[in-house]
Amino acid sequence: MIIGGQNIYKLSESERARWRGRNMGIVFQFFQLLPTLTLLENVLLPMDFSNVYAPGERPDRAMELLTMVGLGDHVHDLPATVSNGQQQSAAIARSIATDPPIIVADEPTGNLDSRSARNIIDMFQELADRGKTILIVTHDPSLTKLTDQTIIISDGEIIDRAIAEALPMLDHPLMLQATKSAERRIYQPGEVILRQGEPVEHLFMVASGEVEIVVDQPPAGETPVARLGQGKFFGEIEMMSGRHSLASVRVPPGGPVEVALLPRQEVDDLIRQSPVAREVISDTADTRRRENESLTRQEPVR
Amino acid sequence: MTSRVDNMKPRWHKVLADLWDSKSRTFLVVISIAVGVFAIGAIATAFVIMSSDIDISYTSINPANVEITTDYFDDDLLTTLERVPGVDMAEGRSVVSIRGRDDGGAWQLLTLVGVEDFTTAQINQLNLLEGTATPGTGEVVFSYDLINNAGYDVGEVIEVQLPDESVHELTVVGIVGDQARSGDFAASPRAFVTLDTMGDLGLPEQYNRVYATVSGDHGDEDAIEQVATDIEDKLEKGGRTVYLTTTTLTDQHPMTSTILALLGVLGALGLLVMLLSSSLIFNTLNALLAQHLRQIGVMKLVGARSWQISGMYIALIVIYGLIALAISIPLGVLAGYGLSAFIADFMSAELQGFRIVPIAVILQILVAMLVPLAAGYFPVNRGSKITVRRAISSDGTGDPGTTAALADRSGFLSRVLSRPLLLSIRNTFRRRGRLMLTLFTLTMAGAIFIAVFNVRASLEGFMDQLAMHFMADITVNFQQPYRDSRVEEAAMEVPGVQHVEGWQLARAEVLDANDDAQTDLIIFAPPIDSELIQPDLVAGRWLEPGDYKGLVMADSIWADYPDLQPGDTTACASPTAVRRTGRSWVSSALPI
Repeated sequence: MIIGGQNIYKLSESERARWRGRNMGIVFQFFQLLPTLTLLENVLLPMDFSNVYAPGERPDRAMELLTMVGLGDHVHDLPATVSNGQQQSAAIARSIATDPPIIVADEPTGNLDSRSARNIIDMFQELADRGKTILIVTHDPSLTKLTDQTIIISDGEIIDRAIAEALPMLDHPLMLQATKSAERRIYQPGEVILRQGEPVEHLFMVASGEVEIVVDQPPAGETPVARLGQGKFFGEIEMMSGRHSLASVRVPPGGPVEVALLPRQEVDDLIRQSPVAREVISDTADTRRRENESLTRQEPVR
Repeated sequence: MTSRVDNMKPRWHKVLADLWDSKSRTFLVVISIAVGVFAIGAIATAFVIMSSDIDISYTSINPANVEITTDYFDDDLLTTLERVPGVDMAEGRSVVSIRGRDDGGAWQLLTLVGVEDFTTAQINQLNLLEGTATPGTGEVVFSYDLINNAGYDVGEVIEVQLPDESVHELTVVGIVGDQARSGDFAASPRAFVTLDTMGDLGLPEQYNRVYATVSGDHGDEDAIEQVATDIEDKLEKGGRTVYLTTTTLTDQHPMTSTILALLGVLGALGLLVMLLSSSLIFNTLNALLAQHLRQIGVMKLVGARSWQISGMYIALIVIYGLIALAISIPLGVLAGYGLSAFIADFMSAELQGFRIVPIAVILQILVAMLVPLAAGYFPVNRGSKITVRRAISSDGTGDPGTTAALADRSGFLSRVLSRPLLLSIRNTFRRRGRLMLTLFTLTMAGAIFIAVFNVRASLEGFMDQLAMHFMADITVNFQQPYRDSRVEEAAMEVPGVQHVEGWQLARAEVLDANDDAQTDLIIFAPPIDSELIQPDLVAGRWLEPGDYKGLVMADSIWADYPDLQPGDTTACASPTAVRRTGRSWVSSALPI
């Protein structure tokens, strides 16, 4: 694991602890404040262990952080005497005590009521606005909507982001199944991914970059009908109808495109297991077909 | 603990808070340490005090280096003895066995000691405990120690019965400590009177004991022996028979080695207690670390390194030790001095005053610091080096979960036993290390308990064996020979007497090849068909009819003659008769 150019697993146990203290704040689902220390002392602890800030400055900083999270009146309280939300707020204050660039939160709202959860999310939002990198592990979909990037993990394995973005209607086991079957390819500008009239054996999902859909219809010649970016898929019309490609797909100038390819057999299996996926893909295919027809003002090419 | 020291780092706050918030655990660990440290401190204090004070106290009475039991002699012969080379001072005493009682009570044996002038007597001085130490005519003072106490009070008038059965009254005027006789289990209480009083009682106003100190090295055993031999020669040349001679060093109480050995045994028990404590400390710290695993994980996640975690728990252990020291040092000092005072009272010795023994305190500090640290090293080291993942995922029991089903791998127990019982059994075997340590502690405690009782049983057995060896209930010593038949006849007239035997007693010396005396012997001559002795033979056999010049040696002879075996011939002689002529005896058996 390389963070900020530092291979974490090449550090010794002691160096890793020191690195953690200075570079990473941790927020737990169950807060994990030390029960025998006051909230103030809990916030002071990372600064003490990591020897960050001069000893004389630490209490002021801890007070400032606790005040920032709304606990200015509870600094000398023990964790057990404040609410869960307040404990989580104190845990967030502790996580940023050493001013680390990264904050890792494990189900930070999992043990909170909705109002407290909202406050915590707001705090994370504010920290992100200040330039902190916040890595949140959560089952809460409302949180994932707020993130810049979401990585889905199913049964301990990372799901291909292109699949997760292109086929969000699949449940996680099916996403994982698709991930295992998918193939990644990179196409350079000008390169043709699909050629009109040729058979289509994959569903294509754009992982990065942009592709251009072009219909070649004499006498007008090639007519661009659409551009698809990250999280979009193509080839679905052919997947659903079994026909050859109705258009060409190529990489426009500007940069390469990375595409995840799902074989036809796998797509058939997925839509068989997921009626919702079948419906969505089918609807998308119908919509795009109509759009193509509208743009070219003539019957689909056989 | 709500008060906080602002300048203290939060990690030390946590250490103090952990200490304070788990009072029962803190109490358990502190008491575990304190018990052992207290025991070691008390024993070490007593050992140091006793090893110096009883010898100082003994030296202060100017103890006799030589004590000789002989026939009566007068001041002229005493003056001659004072001139023997090597003699610094020589004094005479008159010692007679009598009986005494108060208020018409039961008679008890007393040893009556006559002194010419208590104010000028310098050897074996008496320590005044009550009343006066200088009785006048018709007055008596008694010695007191925990073993030999006549039980008479100052001011009391008691009756004494002399060997001629005449009864007289004496007034008790004082109680004294007599260190020269302390620790003599077989001795009867000693009563001190002036020679004038002895004369009034009709007893000889002469001496039958010689007390002498040497002018040379008071710690040179050989030199003292030589002076004793010279005094014996002088007495014998003066026509007196020497019955018994004992020599002692000036600066070493005769009981010192016994007392220090006793304290050594107690010290060994103290160390065993400390060993038990250490296992208790180990278990408690293990449990503490197991409970704190999650907190350790959290601390590591916020930047704590292993040595910082170790430092916190080592500090906790050190504080446990310091609290234990705060309890055990004063108690150890007090108990150590109390024990010393008790033993000193037992020996009629005087201590040099209450004091703190630095070496004992240092020993306590070392033990209180090192033993818990040693016991805590493994759990602390293991706990501080645990990975964050394991620590965070710990359920607080420190249980790796690999041995849970040890007791029921076949599933048989779960079918036979109730769930609660099964849970108890599983919990017992869940952590093998803890189980083994608990079993070790219980086993050690049981072993110590049994060992103490074994020592006691062995001692009692040995005493019984001694009692079986010599089975007479009453022994009467005579200062002159009497006919057996006459004594037996008189003794059998006493109600309750079942059997009487007359034994001869003589003093002899083992001679070397040059006929020089090497070792003193006391020779007992029981009847050949004696019913009052059951010797425990180590080698050879007991005396048989016809064993002319046959001798059965006590195995203590091996201390001087380790090669002596049954059948060997050794030269012995009576020092009073045909000295240095040499007569051969056969050592035929060696009873204990």
